[in-house]
Amino acid sequence: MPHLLEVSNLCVDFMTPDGPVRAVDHLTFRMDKGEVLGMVGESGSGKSVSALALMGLLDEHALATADYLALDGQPLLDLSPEKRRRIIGQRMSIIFQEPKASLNPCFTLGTQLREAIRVHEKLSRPALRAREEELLAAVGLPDARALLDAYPHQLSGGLCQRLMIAMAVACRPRLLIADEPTTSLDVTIQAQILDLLLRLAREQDMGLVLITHDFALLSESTQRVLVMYCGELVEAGPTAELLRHPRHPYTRALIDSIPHFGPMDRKCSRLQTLRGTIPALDHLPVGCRLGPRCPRAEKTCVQPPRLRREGEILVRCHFPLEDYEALR
Amino acid sequence: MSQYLLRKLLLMIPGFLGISLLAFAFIHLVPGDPVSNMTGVYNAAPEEYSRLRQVLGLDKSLPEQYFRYLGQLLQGDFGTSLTTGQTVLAEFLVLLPATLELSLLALFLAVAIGLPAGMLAAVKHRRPADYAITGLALAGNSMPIFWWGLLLVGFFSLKLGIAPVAGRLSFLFDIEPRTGFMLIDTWISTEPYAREAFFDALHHLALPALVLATVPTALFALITRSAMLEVLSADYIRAARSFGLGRLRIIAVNALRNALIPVVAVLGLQVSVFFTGALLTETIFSWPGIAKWLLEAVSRRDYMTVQGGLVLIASLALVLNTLFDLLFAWVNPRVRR
Amino acid sequence: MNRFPAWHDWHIPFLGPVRVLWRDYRRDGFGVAGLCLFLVLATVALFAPWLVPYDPMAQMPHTLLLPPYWMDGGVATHVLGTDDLGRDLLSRLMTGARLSLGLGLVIVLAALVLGVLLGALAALAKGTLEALAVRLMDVLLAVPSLLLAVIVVAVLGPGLGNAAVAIAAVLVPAFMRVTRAAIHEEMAKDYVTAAHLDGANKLRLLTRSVLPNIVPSLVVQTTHALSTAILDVAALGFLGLGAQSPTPEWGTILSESRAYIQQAPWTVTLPGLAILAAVLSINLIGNGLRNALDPRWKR
Repeated sequence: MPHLLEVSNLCVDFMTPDGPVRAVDHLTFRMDKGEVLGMVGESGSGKSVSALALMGLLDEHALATADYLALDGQPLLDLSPEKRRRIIGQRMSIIFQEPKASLNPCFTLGTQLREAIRVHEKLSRPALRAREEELLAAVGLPDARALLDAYPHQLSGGLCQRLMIAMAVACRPRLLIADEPTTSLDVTIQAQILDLLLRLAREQDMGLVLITHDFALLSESTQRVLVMYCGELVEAGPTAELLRHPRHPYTRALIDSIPHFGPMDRKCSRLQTLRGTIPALDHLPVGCRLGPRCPRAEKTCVQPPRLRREGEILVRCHFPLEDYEALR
Repeated sequence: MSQYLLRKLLLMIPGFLGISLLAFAFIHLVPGDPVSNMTGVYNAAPEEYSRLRQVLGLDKSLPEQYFRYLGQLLQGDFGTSLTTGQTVLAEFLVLLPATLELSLLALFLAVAIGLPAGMLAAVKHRRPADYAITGLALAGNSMPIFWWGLLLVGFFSLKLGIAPVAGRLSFLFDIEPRTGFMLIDTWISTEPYAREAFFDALHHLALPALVLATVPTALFALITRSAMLEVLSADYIRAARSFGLGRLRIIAVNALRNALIPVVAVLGLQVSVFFTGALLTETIFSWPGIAKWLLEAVSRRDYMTVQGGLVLIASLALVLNTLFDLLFAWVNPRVRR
Repeated sequence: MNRFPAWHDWHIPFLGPVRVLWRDYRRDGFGVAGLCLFLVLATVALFAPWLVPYDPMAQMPHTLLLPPYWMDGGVATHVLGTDDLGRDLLSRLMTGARLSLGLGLVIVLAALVLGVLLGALAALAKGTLEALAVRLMDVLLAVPSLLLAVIVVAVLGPGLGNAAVAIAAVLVPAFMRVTRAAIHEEMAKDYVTAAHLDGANKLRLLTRSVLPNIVPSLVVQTTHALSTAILDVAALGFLGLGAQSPTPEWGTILSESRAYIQQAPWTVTLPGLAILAAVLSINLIGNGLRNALDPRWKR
């Protein structure tokens, strides 16, 4: 059985006046049908750029290359732009971080929803209407036809995101990429939107890539997690195993940055964070990209580390952590 | 929306008051004696002079005089020309169609050329087509059109002899002015030579309209380009692409609709650009319109015509500005209530 | 143990605002070309009295309507030819540059100072006064600017000085609006609230916190006003309401030589080219500055 998504050595370069800058460096991963995959990292780590590259939505000044890219066993790289366009929005969809900015302010939501349906399917007027109702119900807005006559600026961010999701799943895609879908929303709405996405993925047997910088969001919803740093995959593996025993110091730092509630069950009482900030992509350190920020860095770390397999986990580190408490 | 409309219409009232105040101040600031300036009578005998003063209300206090003037304006009395003896309003209404015809054609040219050019430049951002259009537009925007008009006349009319030098219609044709718009009058005329006259009128319009359209075309192109560039990098355009919409459709429908907002926003500004252009174009082409009329009144020191013309032209500008504001609200859903 | 350098060592060096502006401005080819053109014109304007080959007013009866050097019948002693009174065109245009650029600068500076002052007052005013100021501004902006200038000239009488006053007066409302809008926008930002909470009074807030931050809007408006001023001075000169002959003002030269467009086309072409060059150079600079200052185009 083919995988839902196969990506091999995806690279993205941005052409700047000072030369090309690599935003995604040899990213390789696979995804099973109906799987919920998490992608986590700080801003600028290349998560969103990877998603846009998979969709073929990068700007003109970005250059994406890959050895192999396939959706449902169908290679995408050899397709003409026209054929590729027919696949996006229909068999693979994406939703973005800012639902309000992602909706055209000059058209009503109904116009935009119908547009999303009609690109790929020619439907009669009643069929179109039935599909609208069905989609509204699917995103938890039954009997909300009035919403379709509204303009985006008249609605809340949560409602806009629900409608964005309705547009994204309008043609029952096999894969949905959600790029920080809840970041700009209120905390109470965040949980609702996340539940909605997971329910849709389950009901429609749709693969879901959940991109976020918040590990807490992934812990209960995803089966596997990819951790990105500075455009590189630094660690990948089953969510539960990764949470219990992260091998990479960066993953460990991300997990530590989740605040704990209730009684302190771990010895650390101070919030652990990495020192410094993520380096600019055109000023990357030599060797391991985490090096200057890593408490375990040694001389060897000026050599770029490779991805290594440790049990079920892939890790890119010269000195992977032996257990959770190793970083002291 | 109706509330917005009402608000905009109400805001025109202080606008008109401001204009009337400006015109009132004008007649009292102009050099010379107010009686002579307002009647054209110089060296009047003392009894006659004091009678005129009384008739004009100049013996009253300034506020009283202003309210008197305001009353005259509200009754539609914009004064009487000192040189022709006709009312200013009548002269204005006869000449207005000539200016409107020229301006509307120029506006049409500016939109028809500027808008697509700006879109093309934005779509071909940082490519040769973009540099060519932007360069031309920047030059057009800087063009002293009185010089540009002279050059075109020198080339097309004097050297090649393929365009008329001045006027709206050849003297050969005698067309009854019904609407004042030469294209319409020749079109509906029943004279046997109506068809030839129509094309002659178009022939006379071409060069002045081209000259008048130069700066607005450049402005439209520059504004459309920058608006389009901003819209094309917006999140909602990326989202539209993620639905699988074609590039052409996104540019022509989704993006253009948004890019029109800043273009419509500067239409109000264009009123000033067009009047400045009309002032110079009408002078060069001896075009019998309101801008040239006002200029001649200034040089003849016909202050009543200048005063009345100021009120009428400024009011027209105010009305047009309000109309463009309403148009802006109509194209921009975020302004509507 | 051999440690990596501390993280701040490989951070991007910090540049001052002027250097950042220059770095961004330099990328715009049009802007650089405009700056070069402007520098040439400004040099000519500044040193015109010492650079001119002839007295711009001197009439030479033996060299009437002489064509430029590169045309048939042209002579090297009058590079750009002469006009109908035998005056050297190059000398007249160079002196005209002094008038156009110099006077334009004076006009714009006057309008800038007055407009910023009134605009700041309008921004600080409250209630009826504010509404009144805003209405007045709107009316003045709605009325075509050259119409107002013509009216002011009608009151003051034609002449270069009066035309300059008229144009300066007409430019003030635009500066007022930009200033008021920019101040309002800045006042709403958090850093101003912070300064306010620190106990700064309104005047201090305005001069120390807000004014430095509205400079970009004013710079762009100033370049726009300068090109408008130069164009309007020439237009009024052309219409006979500005500089009067024999003043070598570009618009006036153009209206004088209008009658010779067939006989001596260069007497029409060259003054117009001078106006175009001056206005274009300033518009190119304004365009470049706007692009460089606009954070949206920084990528």
